[in-house]
Amino acid sequence: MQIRTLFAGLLAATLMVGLPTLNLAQAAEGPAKAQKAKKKTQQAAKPTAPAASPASAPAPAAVPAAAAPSPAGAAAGAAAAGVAGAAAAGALAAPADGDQKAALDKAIADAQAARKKAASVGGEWRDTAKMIKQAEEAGAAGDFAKGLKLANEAQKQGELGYEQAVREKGAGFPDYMKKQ
Amino acid sequence: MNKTILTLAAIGLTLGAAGASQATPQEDQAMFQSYFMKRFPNVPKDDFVNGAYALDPVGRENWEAIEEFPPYETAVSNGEKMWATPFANGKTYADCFPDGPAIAGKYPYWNKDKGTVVTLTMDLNGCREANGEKPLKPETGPMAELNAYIAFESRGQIRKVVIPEDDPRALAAYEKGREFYFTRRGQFNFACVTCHGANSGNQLRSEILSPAFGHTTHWPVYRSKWGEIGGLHRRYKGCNEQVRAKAFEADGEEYRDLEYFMSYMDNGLPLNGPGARK
Repeated sequence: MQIRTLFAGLLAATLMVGLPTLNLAQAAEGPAKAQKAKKKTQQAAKPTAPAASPASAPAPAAVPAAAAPSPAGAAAGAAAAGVAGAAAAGALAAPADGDQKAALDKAIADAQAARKKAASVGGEWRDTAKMIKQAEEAGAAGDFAKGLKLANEAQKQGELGYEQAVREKGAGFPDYMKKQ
Repeated sequence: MNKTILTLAAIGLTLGAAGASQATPQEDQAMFQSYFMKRFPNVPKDDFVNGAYALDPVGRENWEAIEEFPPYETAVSNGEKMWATPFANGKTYADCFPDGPAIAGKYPYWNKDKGTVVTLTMDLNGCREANGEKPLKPETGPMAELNAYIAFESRGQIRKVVIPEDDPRALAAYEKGREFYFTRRGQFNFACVTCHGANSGNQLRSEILSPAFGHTTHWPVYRSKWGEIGGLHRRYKGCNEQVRAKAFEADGEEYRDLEYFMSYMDNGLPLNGPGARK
């Protein structure tokens, strides 16, 4: 009898402690799941949302309408044609191009800023401006990966050129000339 | 005891500050010339005007053979014609430079009114503009040819650049030129002195690096690489680009100050332009 009472008490205690903990964990997980679900929905709609580009990036150049259909337009077109799957795939590919373009535009703007900063202290390197131009040309030809690589390299050159010029400030006769 | 320590510390600080302060242009010049004369003890001082050919006997043989029929001869002739040809208003360069054409030894100089270093090409272009003519590109073409004639007529003049003591801006320009010379720049991180200081006389691929001392005396130069005559600032641009730095404008402040410093280092050497180089 005493043993049975003891087990019953233990079970009751376990339930009292365990259940609220479980509820709390579920409660905490709830909003996160809801967030994930919301994000998925947004991603599905993303093809039509140029707002995904960084706010600081310059406005991307006009993209052909066929390549970047508006969300509403894409949805309507897909429904009308009855090929929702194909339309969704097309819409996803087009926005990816838009994102790359925006990323390249930002990288070029950053590279230009770095180049100008280096030039302001007389530290610009020979090929930096050329690389920026090549990055722009690559972007215009749709080769965003190449353009991005060139722009990032140009930005690095601008930063290094600036650091070099600042470091060399006040340069004078080397010790081997002074100590002859 | 404390007084003694303080006094010693003050003396130390004073001496330290004096040591750290920049040398005067005269001290710079003495140190610069002495360095190269010690580095190349077999080269007579005046022979530094011949650059790498003062160091390389085989190269010198070739160069002297080239000088028998100098490749800059046409440029000198064209320059002479330019000097004598009147502008549209009937005046000539001689009206601007009454003691010309042998005037190369006066350049570069500090112009107090303008507050800047003035090169020969700047004054020649100034003369053109004053007479209603368009300025010429400073480092190539007709201007380089006109300079070749003036340099030829000025041969033997002694380099004597002055840094006037009554205008601190002149010293500042000299110091800027000095800083430029010793500043590492470009993707290769080279200064002018990297090649033409401790490495002068060493071989870089097939070429012998010329010593900095004497670099300004023989301009303009017919370079085989260019296939024509060109000015000192054109060479500056080429050097900067070789180390993958962005070049500056010919006759711009950076190169004018650099020319001022380098010419001052060459004081005492005879002018021997125009020259012929590879």
